[in-house]
This record gives sequence, structure tokens and C-alpha cells, in this order.
Amino acid sequence: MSKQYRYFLPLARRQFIKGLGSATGTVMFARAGTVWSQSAAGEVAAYTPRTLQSVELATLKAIMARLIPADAHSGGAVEARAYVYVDRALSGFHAQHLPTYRSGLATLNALAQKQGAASVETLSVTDRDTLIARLEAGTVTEPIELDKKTFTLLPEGGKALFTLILRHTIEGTFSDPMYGGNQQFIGWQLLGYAGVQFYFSEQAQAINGRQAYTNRSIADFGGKPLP
Amino acid sequence: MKTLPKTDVVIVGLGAAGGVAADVLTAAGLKVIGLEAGPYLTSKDFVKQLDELHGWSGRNRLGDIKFNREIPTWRPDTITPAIPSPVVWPMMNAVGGASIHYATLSWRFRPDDFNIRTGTIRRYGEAAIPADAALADWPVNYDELEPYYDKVEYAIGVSGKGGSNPFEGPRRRDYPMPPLRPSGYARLAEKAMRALGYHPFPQPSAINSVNYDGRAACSYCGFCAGFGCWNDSKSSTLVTAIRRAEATGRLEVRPLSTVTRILTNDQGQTTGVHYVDASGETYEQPARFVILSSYVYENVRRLLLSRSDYFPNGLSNNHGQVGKYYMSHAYVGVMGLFPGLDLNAFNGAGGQSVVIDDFNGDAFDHSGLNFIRGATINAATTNLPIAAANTHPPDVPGWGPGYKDWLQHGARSVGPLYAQVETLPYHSNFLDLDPTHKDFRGEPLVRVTYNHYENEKRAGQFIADKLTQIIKKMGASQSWLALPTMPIPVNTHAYGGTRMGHDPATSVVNAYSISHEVPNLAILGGSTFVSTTGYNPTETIQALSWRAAEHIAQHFDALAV
Repeated sequence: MSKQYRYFLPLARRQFIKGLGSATGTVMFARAGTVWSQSAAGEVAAYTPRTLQSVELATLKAIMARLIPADAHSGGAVEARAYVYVDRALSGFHAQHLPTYRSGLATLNALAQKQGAASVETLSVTDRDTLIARLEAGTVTEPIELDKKTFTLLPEGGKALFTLILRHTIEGTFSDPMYGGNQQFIGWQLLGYAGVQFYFSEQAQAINGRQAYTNRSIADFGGKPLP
Repeated sequence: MKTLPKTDVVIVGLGAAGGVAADVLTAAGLKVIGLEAGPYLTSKDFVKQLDELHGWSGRNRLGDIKFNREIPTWRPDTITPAIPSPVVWPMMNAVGGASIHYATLSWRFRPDDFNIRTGTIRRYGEAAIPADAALADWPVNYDELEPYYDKVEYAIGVSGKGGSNPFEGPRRRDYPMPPLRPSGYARLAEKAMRALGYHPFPQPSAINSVNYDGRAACSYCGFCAGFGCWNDSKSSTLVTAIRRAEATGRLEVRPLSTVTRILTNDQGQTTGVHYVDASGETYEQPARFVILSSYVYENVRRLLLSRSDYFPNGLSNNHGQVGKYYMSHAYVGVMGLFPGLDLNAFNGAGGQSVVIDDFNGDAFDHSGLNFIRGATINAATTNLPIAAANTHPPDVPGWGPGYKDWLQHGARSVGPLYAQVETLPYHSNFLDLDPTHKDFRGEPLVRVTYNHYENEKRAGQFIADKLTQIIKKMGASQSWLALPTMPIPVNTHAYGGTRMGHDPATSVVNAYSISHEVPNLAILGGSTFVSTTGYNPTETIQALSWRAAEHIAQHFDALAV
């Protein structure tokens, strides 16, 4: 390659090669078929929200845990900390949706209380799935008592709230980890996305020509999350 | 307001069109000032932006400075109130314009595109043209534009294989670079298309397939459409035409400079522009000739807002033609599930695809089909994780354990086919100023009045059937309509509003993109298009811009004030 041409900027090249060397350790993480447990991601419990109230965050996590659940193969949205992504975005790019989250999550907890639970978080998995399915179908059309004086209705029978939370859960799980979600590349490894990579050979683009994991975030190359 | 020294030409918007014009004008010795609302970014910025949320399918951060703050409103017809457009395919702002983030699909229109009206009547009769359609021939034909297509392909840098598309017009020589190499998925599609008797060929693409013009070959990194190229492989005007124009010493680029008004004198000539810089300072930039080359929406809006005694309804609008014949490309997308195949789609270039032209334009006989024109059909896989997570088949749940299982075992086996459908110009589809919605400066937004009609619906259905046929032949066990044909009111592929033509009663600019009403004003870009064709617009925008700039330079003293 003549010197005037470049495949990689100098910085990128160094980072890229370093990335290849260190990637294998994390590659095995989600692919080894080990049973996933909360303890595998020890820091999961330790997030102090900057936008949502802690009860709102707990409700959001309880829903996310069912939207993309952890299973025997890997973590899901909660383990990827998609809620961190959402909590940050609600003070930034998605700030216009904060009122929808506020009223929506409070309404869902009121619904859970009607069913005798303390909150969505304490609903059984089956009851949570039923609630989410009703939101998706837009059938939560009854007025819901928030307190003695206040009733509320979910727009579109809950479908709007469902669509918003699902969209943001997917964004949080599969976006670059620098936004707060997709921690330990859980989302990307779920899809088999190898991470940011600057060059692909012909073989690397072939069908069944799977990539080695680089597990690189663009933050490794100077990228910064815009608010 | 500061009044600056007069220049030969001021270009409003230094993108795909304005960049090419700057190159041609400065090469001819003219002094040019390029006013660009966006920032002056380089590959050092782009290398930090390989981030799906940064791109146009995410948060479109490259449009933050202008486009995202003035997105047009939409209504399907004149009796429905306009609302913020529910579907937006976003533009961006920077020196180089949207040629920085485009997918680089680089096409010559075919000869039959330019005589769309007479050709349709000749083959199918006048009754084949829908009643409300404002179908017109272009004021230029393929042979007149061919030399400029050739110049653009070499000056900008386009990869492709001349003659590989049996439906293309004659060309004087091959592309300057061979096509991008085919991906595994493109090979799969090509085989199926050929088996069905169609004529697949590699997508011509404005990106380096090999080192060219001092810029590196594409590395197939997967961050292409929606992103600036960190490797300068993409042939944006930023790294080609504008770079060359600046090297002459005759182009002064002023980034973060938003033009607020085009000025006219009492004889109906332009005298320059007003603009505002990043600090809020306002300037008058006098010029002997003005080129308006922002984008469809802003071209129209800036004309309509530049009222004067001579032009009480907006600049160059004394015939009431500004905003008319608005068009927007339509799309159809079909997904296929290929069990057991890892399609390996998280990589590649935007233009790294295989295409067929068999059902585009008038390449096929429409007798008995009840619609005219058609679409290009394209097989490309380039994908990113958030988008990939949204490609589940209709029978897979969109959340829960079933969704999770599909993410893990199915998502890598889903591949798309897309078609870009030609839409027709209609009298009832137009742009004007929104009487209620305003932007952050307090200026009215553009209001898009736009809908699809029977021709678009029938063409979309016909093409969707072809997509399904091809994807089945490729081996898909299951296929589904992922993107139905629907109006895209605000689009990176928007056209019309300042149509080109011979007659001032039905067009705004002439065949050289110069205003019928203002002798020293040229308007460049998709806003001058007479039809959408099934092709991506940029190479034709650039060929028309080259031809216009050459004409302006040759006749400068006669045209300029």
C-alpha cells in the first residue's frame, strides 16, 4: 500500500490491532453456554438514576426484563443495562418522552395494585407478561385509579406506551455501549455483531463467514455519546 | 449588518450540487463564495461517529444544525390540516452536504426517462397517463447530458462496470474504477436473478473500489449510508469537487453560514444574499450571480421567503410555479428468512449490491398493467444491530422469550430486497409555506401536500410480487412485506418545486437550471427534476450542475449583473 493511501487512520490502526488481541477474553462470555445469572453482572443493582425516580426505574426494569429476558444462554435487556440508556436519554435526546414515562409507569403500578401486587416489579412473570400483552394489544382502555381523587387513561389503550418502551429497550440493548446500555456487549453478542471494525476482507463478508469479536465501542476510537 | 466585498458568484449550499458547481466555476477562473449552513467536518470527525444512533436511522446528528430543526410538515391533501411529518428520511448539513452521508448509489438516468411524456404516449397512448399527473418531458435529453455524466464519473469517482446493465444508455467509456466487490449475499441474489431470466449487474457506486485520485479504496466497514466516510473512500464533494475548488484559491468556503434572503434589485435581478453566521452576526454578501443549491425544501422556502416589490409572491415566482410538482421516491421492501445461512450482514458499503433494471422505467412492456414506469430492484445486506433487531418475521413475537430466541438464532439469517419506485408528478402534490408551524428562527416551515395515487399503488404491488419471486428463488423459506409502498412526505429523495422546462408557465428554470424570471439566478439540485425515475438522483444532479456551471462560466458577462 502506497503511503498516500490508508485503510486506517493511525490511531484507529493501533486501537484496532490492540482490540483483536484483547477480544477473545470477552468473546467467550456470552457464547459459552453457561447459565446466566444476575450475579454474573455484579454491578447491575448499583445504578442511581439521574432522571427517573427509583420506583419508576424499578418498574421500567421489571418490564424490560420481560421484553428481552435473560435465559440460559445470555443476559437480556436488564443485564445489558438498557434502563441506564433510557434513564440517560430521558434527560437528553428523548427528554420529550419523560412525561409519558412518568405517567405511564405510575399507571402500570396502579394497575398492578388493582391485581393485589405492590407494584409491577412484584407481579409474577406470568402476570407481567399478561399485562405487557394487554398493552401491546391496546386493550387497557379502562380508567385506572391513581389515588382517591385521580383517574387516568392510557393513550391508545397502552399501545403507545408499549411501543415507546420497546423501542427504547431495543435501542438501549443494541446501541453502542457508550450510551449506557449494551454493557459487556450483551446486545451485540446476542445478535452476533462483532463490534466496531474498520476493515472487512472478502472472506469476512462471505455467507457463513463469521467475524471474530472485536468488542470495540466507538468510544475506544474517540467517539463520545451526544446527549 | 456588515456589507462584504462583492464576488463573482455566491453559492447557497455547498453540497452535491453546489460543490460541483464551485469546482467548474473556479476552474473557469471565477471567484466564488460558498455559504454553507452546516459545519466543515473531515474524516477526523467521521472516525468518531461509527455509531448507529449517530446515523440517519438513529438520531441523525449530522442534521442537528439545520435540517432537524426545520423538518417540513405534511398533509395528504388540501382539506387535511398539516402535522409534523410522521415519516422522515432525513437530510444533513455540512460542507459537502448529503454527499457525505449518502449511500453512494450513482446512476445515469436512461434515455426513456428524459422523454417520459412523449414516450409514454407513443407506446401506450395518452389515456395511460393518470388524469391529475403533470407528466412532462425533460428539457434535456440523454445525449446532451451524457458528456456531463462522464465528467462527473471521473471527477467525483464512480465505481461500476459499463455495459453490465443491458438497459443503460450509450456511454463514451467505462467507469474509472471497477465495481465494488460483491458480498456473499449479493452473489446469492445475482444467481437467483439470473436464473429467473433477469439481468443483474453490480450497482454503480460513488465510492472508491480501488485507490483513486489520492483517496483510499473502500474498507467495507459497514458504516456507510447515514455516515461520513472516515477513510475518505466515499466520493463526497467534500473530498473531491470542493477540495479541488479550494485548491484554486478562488473558492472561499464559509461554513455555519445560513442564508436568510436572496436579494433583488428593481429590475428583477439578484444582487446577493443576506446570511447569518454561528454567532448570530448578519452579513450582506453582494454577488454578480447567485446559485441556490441547498435542497428541495430549502430551495423552495428560501425563494418563497425572498419576496420583493418585483417578486411579491417570492423570488422567481411571478408565474406561481415555485413549489409545484413535488415528488418523493417510494420504496418496497421484502425480507426473506434463510434458515441455516449466516448472511453476515454487519459490514459492507452502501452501494455494494446487485441490481436489476428489468422492471424500471420503460424497460418492460406495461400493456395491460394499468400503471406506467417502475423501479430498480436492489439486493444489499449492510445492516447494523438496532436495525437488525427489528427484522423479525411476522410470526415471531416482537418481545419476550420467543423474540429473544430469534435474536440469537434467527436474526443473522434475514436478508432484504428493496425496490425504489418511480412516482409521478401530480398537480395536487406541492410545497408551500406552512401558515402555522414555524422553525426556531420564527420562519414558516415548508408544508408538504403529498399523497400516492393509483399509479404508485399498482406499481408498488407489481414490484412487491417481483421481490417475493426473487427472494424465494434465492432460497428464502419465508418472506414478508417489511416496507409497504407508502408516501414518504419528507425524503432524502425529494424532487420538484423548481422544475426545469422550456415554458415559464409550467416550470421555474430552463435547461441550464437558470431561472426563467431572474437572469442571474441558477437553482440546482433535485428541486429541478421533472420526474423521479427509479434511480437515485445524485449523479444526475451533479451532471446537471456541471452543465449549468459550464454554461454560466461561458456566458458569465452576459448573464451576470
